[in-house]
Amino acid sequence: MAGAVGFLADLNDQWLKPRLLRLVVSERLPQPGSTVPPSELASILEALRTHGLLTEAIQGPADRKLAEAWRATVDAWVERVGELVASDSPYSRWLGTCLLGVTFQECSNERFAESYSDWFEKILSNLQESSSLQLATVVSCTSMSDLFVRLAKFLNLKKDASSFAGRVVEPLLLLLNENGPVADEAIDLLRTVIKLYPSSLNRHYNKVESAIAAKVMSAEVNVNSSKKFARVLAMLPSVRVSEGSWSLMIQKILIGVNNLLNDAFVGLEEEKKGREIMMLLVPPGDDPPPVFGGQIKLGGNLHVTKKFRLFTVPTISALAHCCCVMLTSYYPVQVNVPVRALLALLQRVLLVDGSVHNKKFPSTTSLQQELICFELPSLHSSFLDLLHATIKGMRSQLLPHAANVVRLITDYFKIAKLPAMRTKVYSIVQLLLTSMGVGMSLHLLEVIVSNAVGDLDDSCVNEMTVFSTNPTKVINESSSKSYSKKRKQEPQIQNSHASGLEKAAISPKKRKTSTPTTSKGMTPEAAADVTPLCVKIAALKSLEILLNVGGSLRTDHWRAKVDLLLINIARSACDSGAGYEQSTSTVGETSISDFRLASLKALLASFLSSPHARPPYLAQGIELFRRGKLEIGTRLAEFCSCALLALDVLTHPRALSLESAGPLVPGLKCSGPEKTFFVAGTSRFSQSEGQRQVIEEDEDTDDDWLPSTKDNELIEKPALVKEDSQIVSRTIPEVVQDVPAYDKGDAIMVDVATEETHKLKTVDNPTSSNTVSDPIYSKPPGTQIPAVAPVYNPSGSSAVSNPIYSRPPEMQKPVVSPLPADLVERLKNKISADNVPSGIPGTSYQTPSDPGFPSSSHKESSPTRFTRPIQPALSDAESEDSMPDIVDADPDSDFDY
Amino acid sequence: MAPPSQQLVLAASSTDAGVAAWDLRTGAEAIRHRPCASRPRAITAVADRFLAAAQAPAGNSAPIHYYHWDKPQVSVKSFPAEPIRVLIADPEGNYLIGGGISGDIFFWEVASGELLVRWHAHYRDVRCLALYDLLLVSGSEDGSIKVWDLLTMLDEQSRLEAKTPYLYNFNHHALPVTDIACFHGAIAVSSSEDRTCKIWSLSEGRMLRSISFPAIIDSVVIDPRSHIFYAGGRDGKIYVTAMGVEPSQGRDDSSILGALDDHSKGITSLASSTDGLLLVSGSEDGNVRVWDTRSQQVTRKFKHSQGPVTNVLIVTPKRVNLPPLQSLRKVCAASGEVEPRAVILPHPETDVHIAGNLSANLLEHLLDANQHGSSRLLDSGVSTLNGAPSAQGAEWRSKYLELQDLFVHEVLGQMPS
Repeated sequence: MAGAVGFLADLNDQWLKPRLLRLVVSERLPQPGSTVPPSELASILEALRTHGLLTEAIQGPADRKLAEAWRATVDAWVERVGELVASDSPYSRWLGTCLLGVTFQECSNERFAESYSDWFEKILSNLQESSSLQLATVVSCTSMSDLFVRLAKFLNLKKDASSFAGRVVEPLLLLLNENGPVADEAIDLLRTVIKLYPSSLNRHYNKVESAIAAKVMSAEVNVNSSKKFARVLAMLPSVRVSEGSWSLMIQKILIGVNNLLNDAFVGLEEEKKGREIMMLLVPPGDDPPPVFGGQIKLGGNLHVTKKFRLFTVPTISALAHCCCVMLTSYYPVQVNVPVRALLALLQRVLLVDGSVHNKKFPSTTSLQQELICFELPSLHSSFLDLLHATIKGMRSQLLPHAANVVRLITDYFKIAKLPAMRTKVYSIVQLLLTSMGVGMSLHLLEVIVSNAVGDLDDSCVNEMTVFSTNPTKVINESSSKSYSKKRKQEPQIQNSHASGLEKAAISPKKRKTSTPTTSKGMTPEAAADVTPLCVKIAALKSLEILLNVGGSLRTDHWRAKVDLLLINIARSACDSGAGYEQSTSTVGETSISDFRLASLKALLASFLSSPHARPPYLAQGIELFRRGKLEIGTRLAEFCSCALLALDVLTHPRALSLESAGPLVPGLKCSGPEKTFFVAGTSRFSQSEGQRQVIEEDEDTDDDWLPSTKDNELIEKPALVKEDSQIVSRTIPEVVQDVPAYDKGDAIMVDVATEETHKLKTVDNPTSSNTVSDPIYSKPPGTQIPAVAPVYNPSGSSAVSNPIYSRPPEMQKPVVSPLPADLVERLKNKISADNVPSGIPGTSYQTPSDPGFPSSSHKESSPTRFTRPIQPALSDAESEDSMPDIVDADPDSDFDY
Repeated sequence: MAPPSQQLVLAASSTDAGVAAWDLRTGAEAIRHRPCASRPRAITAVADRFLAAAQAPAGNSAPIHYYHWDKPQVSVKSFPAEPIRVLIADPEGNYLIGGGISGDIFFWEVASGELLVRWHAHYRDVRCLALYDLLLVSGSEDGSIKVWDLLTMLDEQSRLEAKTPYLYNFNHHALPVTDIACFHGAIAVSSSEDRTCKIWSLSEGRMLRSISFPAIIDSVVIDPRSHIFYAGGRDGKIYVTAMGVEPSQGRDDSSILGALDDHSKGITSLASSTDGLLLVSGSEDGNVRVWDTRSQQVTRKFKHSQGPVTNVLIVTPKRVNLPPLQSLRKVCAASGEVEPRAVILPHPETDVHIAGNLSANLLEHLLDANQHGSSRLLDSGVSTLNGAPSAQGAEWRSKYLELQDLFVHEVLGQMPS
C-alpha cells in the first residue's frame, strides 16, 4: 500500500483517487478569473467520472488515513468550486456552477446531506440575478435540477426539499418569460420540480399555466421547445390532486384547438363541424371554461398569411402534442377522457384533404387554399400523433368507438400519399392491431392488405427479374383496392374477362388512383418512382403484425397473395443487396438493412402464422434466414438465429395437430380449400422449373375462384388466353365452375403422392381408368372447332401453351403423349426461351396486344381442359384416381419422356 | 414492495352461502362476502380490482353484486332488466358482459355503469361466455355457440352493414353448451351436456375436433402451459385431455389422458392458476379442492357449504384506489345522450421518474459543440458577450423576415387576385 506519496500498488490502489483529485484541483482547475481550454475541461470531467474522484467510497478495509486524505482533497475541490461560483467573472461563475452540478451527482451521501442547503442558496442567488449571463443562468437551472434529483433520494429531507422547490418557482416564472435557451432550461427545471415535488407548485398553478400557455401560443418559440413547453403543461394537472383540473385543462386545450381550426378551415369543410365539436366539449347548459391562455393576443398583429404559418399551425401542433402527453401519462387520480370530442376533432382534421368544400364561399381564395395545403401535412402529422396517443391511452376503452376509428383510418389511407403520412398511418394501424387483436384485424384486414401490397410490390417487380412476369400480375390485381370484394361479387367469367385484355387497358389508370407508386408492370421504366423505403418498412411491419394477430383469419382471401409477396420481397431484399440500394433512394435513416430486417420479420410472421403445417415457401425462407445468420454482428443475424429457432418447430413437427387425423386422405380432403392449395404450392415449389413457375402456380391457386386465370398465367399471356377461354367457356359455364374444385382435389393428391410415395404403386391401377377417360373427353372440343386445329400446330407459341396447360395435375400423360415428337422438342426449346425473357415483364405483356392469331390457336387446348371435369366418375374418384396422374404431371417428367 | 401478491381461491354456491375466499398459500379463510348465491359462471373478478357476482333469481329480483376485496358486505347492487345467468369481465376490467335468461347479451361499461348495448343472441338462456381479444363466444341452452365481433356489435353503423350480427354460428352441440374456454391461437373448447367437448378454430370459424366423454362435462379449463385441457364431469372426475392429436392416432378416445378423481359428486367449475401448476375444482358436494397438476394429487381441500359449489376462481386481488363504483343500468341510454366514459386510471407502479438532465451532460454537450463550432468559451475575455451574438443574429433574422414578408405582401397585393 502506498500512502500520500510514493509509488502506487497498481491502478486499483485507493490512494490514486485522492492524489489524482489533488492534482486536478491544484493544477488543472482554473483559478477564479482565469480560463481553461474546453478540451482540458472535458478531460477533468472524464477523470472525475471514470475514477469516481468525488465519491469518497473506499473499497475494502477501512483506512482512516486514506479517508481523511480523500476528504481533505474533496473539501479542497468543493472550496475551489465555491470560489468559482462566487467569482465576479461570468466565465468562472458558469464553470463553477457546472462543476457544482457534477459534484451533486458524484459526491457521497454524507457530504451532500451536510451541505445541500448551502449549495442551494448559492445556485438560487445565481438564478435570481438572471441579468448577468445567459449561459450561467442556463447552467444554474441544470445544476438546480441535479440538486433536486439527488435530494429526492433522501426521504428524510423531503420537507426541506419541498420548501426549496417552492422558493425556486418564483424566479423560475421570471425566467420563463425570457426567450432562447434560458426559458428552455427553466422549463426543464420546472418539469423536474413538478415531477418530484408537485405540491410545492400548488399555489402558483394559475400563474404557471398562463406563463406556459403564453410560451406555447407565442410565435417566437421554435418547434422543439414549444413541444417541451407543451409537455410540461400536460404535467401540470398532476400538481392538483383532483379530477377536475385535468378535465378542465384538456377541455380548454381542445376548445382552443377547435377555435383555431375554425379560422383555418373556412371553406374547406362543412361549416357546422366546429360547432358540433363544441357541443361535445361543452354540453349544453354548462358554462364554457375560461379561454386557454387567457387574454394572450393571438399571433399579434401579423398579416393573416404569416399568422397562419407562424402562429396557427405551430400552436395547434403544440397543443395537440400536449394532449398526446396528457393521454399517455398517469395522474394521481382517475381522470375522464372526452373521447368522443377527441375523435370528432381528429376526424375533422384528418379528413380535410384541402379540397374546397363550398366553392361559393366568398372568402376562400386559391391563395388561402394553397397555404393550407402547404401546412396540412404538418397538421395531419400532429393529429396522427394524437390519434396514436388516444389509442395508446384508451386501450380497450376505445372499443365503443373502435368502428369509428377504423372508418377514419380507412378513409385516411385514401388521403395519405406523402411518405411521412403513410408511415404514420401504418404505425397507427399496427397499434390498433396489437391493442385490439383478432377482432380489429377482421376490420382492418382489407385496408391493410390492399395498401401494403400496393406499397410493397413495386420493389419486387423492380428487382426481381427472375420472378418478373407474375409478380407484376399480382400487382395489377392487388393494386385495385377492393380486389377481394370485387372478385367475390363478379361472376367468374366476367371476372376472367376483366382481368384479361380489358384489365391490361384499365389497370394503369386504376393504379394511378389507388396507390401513389404502383405504376409499373406495363413498362419497366415506370418502376422508377418507387415507394420510399420507410413506407415499405412500415407496410411490412403492418403486415407482420396483421399476420401475427390475425394470420389465420379468412385466409382464402389474402393469405396466398401476401405470403407470396413476402417471400418475393424478402428474396429481392436479400439477394440483390447492393444493386437494390442503388436503385432506391434511401429516405432519412432508413436503409436497406432495415428493409431487409423488416422483410425477414414479416416473412417469419407469415411462416409462423400459416394455418397449415407447412408454409408454402418454408424452404426458401429458411435458406434466407440461414444466409442472414451469417452476417455476424448485425441485427439481421440476431433476428435470423431467433427465426431459425422459431421455425425449428415447423421443420420438425413437434407440435401436434388439433384436428383428428384419421385416415390420411379423407382428413386432408375435408380440410377446406385454402389448405389444399397451400399444399399444392409446396409440392410444386419443389419442381425444378424454378421460381417463375412457382409463382405462376401459386398465384393461380390464390385465384381459385377464377379458373381461367390459371391458364393465362401459366402461359404468361393473360389477355390472350383469357379472351379465348372466355369465348369457349361461355358455352359451358357450369364446367368452368367445376374446375376449381377439381383442381383442388388434385392438388392435395400431389402432396400426398410426393410425401407418401409408397402409396403410389397401390394406386397405380386407377390411372388406367383415367387415361381411358381422357381421350374421350378431349375430343369433343376438338371437333367443335375444327378450323382452329391447323393453326394450332404451326404456331410455336401456342404449342407451348399446351404442355403448360397440361402441367396442372390432371391427365398430363394422355394429353401430351399424342403430340408429335418434334412438337415436344419445340416445346422444350420454347420453355427454355421463355425463361430467358422473363426478366422483362413488359415484353410479355406486349404479346397479348395482337389477339387474333394466337388466341384462336388456344381454343383447342382450353376446352379440352374445361370439359374434363364433367365426367362424373372422375370427380367422384378423384381422390384416388388422379393421384398417379399428378405424379406424372410433374413437369420434369413430362418433358423428359 | 408489499408482501408478495396474495392469491385467493374464491368459491360460491348456488345456495346462499356467500363467496368464500381462502388464501392459496396458507389455506386460511380470508373473508366471506355475503350474501351471494350464484349459478355457475356468474362470478367474475373485474381485472382483479373487485368482484362482480350475478345472483340467482330469488323472488322477482336477481341483482348483480359488487364486492370489494376487504369488505364482506355488498358494495354496490345493480338490478338488470332480467336475471343474468353468466357474467364475465374483459381483461382490463373496463366492461362487464352478461348473458340473460332470455338469450340476450348485455354489455356494460364498468366506469359509468352504462348499458352500452344489448342484443338478442340465442333462443334460450345464455349459459356461458368467453372472450378472445374482441371476439365474444357465447354458448346457450339451445346448444348453439355463436361468435360475436364486439367491434361490430358496439357500432350501430357496422351492425347495419353486417350480413349477420354474429361472426359464426356453430350448431354442432346437440344439447346445452355448459362451458367455453378460449386459448391463445384463437382456439376455443366448448363442453356440452351431450357428453362431448369440441375444439373450435375461431379464426377459421370451424370445428376442429370433437371428443366424447363418458359423462356430461360441466366445466372446461385450458392449461396455460401446454396442449392439455381439463374437463370436469358430472361423474365427479376431472378428465385430463390432450388438445392435439398424434397424426398416427385416429381415435378420439386417446385424447383423454387420464382423470383426477376425488370428488364424490359432479364437478361444477374449474380454475387453473396462471402458472398451470395448480388446478382448483368446485363440486356439487360442497367442497373445493386444490390439485397439484404434476403429481395429480389433492393438496388442499376447502369446505364451502352444504350446497353445491358453483363457481371457483383464483384471483390475485389488486387493491387500488377505486373511484366509487357505479351500479349497472337497466336499459341502454338513447344514442348520443350519454358518452361512453373512458378513464385513465392512476398507475403508480408504471410512473417511474426519470432523473432530470444532468449538468454534466450539459457541460459535455457544450464542450462538444464548442470544440467543433466557433468556441464561445475559448475567447473568454469577451465572455460577457456569451449568448449575445445569437441574440443579435435572431434580431437581424426577424428583421429580415419581416421585410421579406412586407415585400411579398406588397407584391401579392398588386396582383389581381
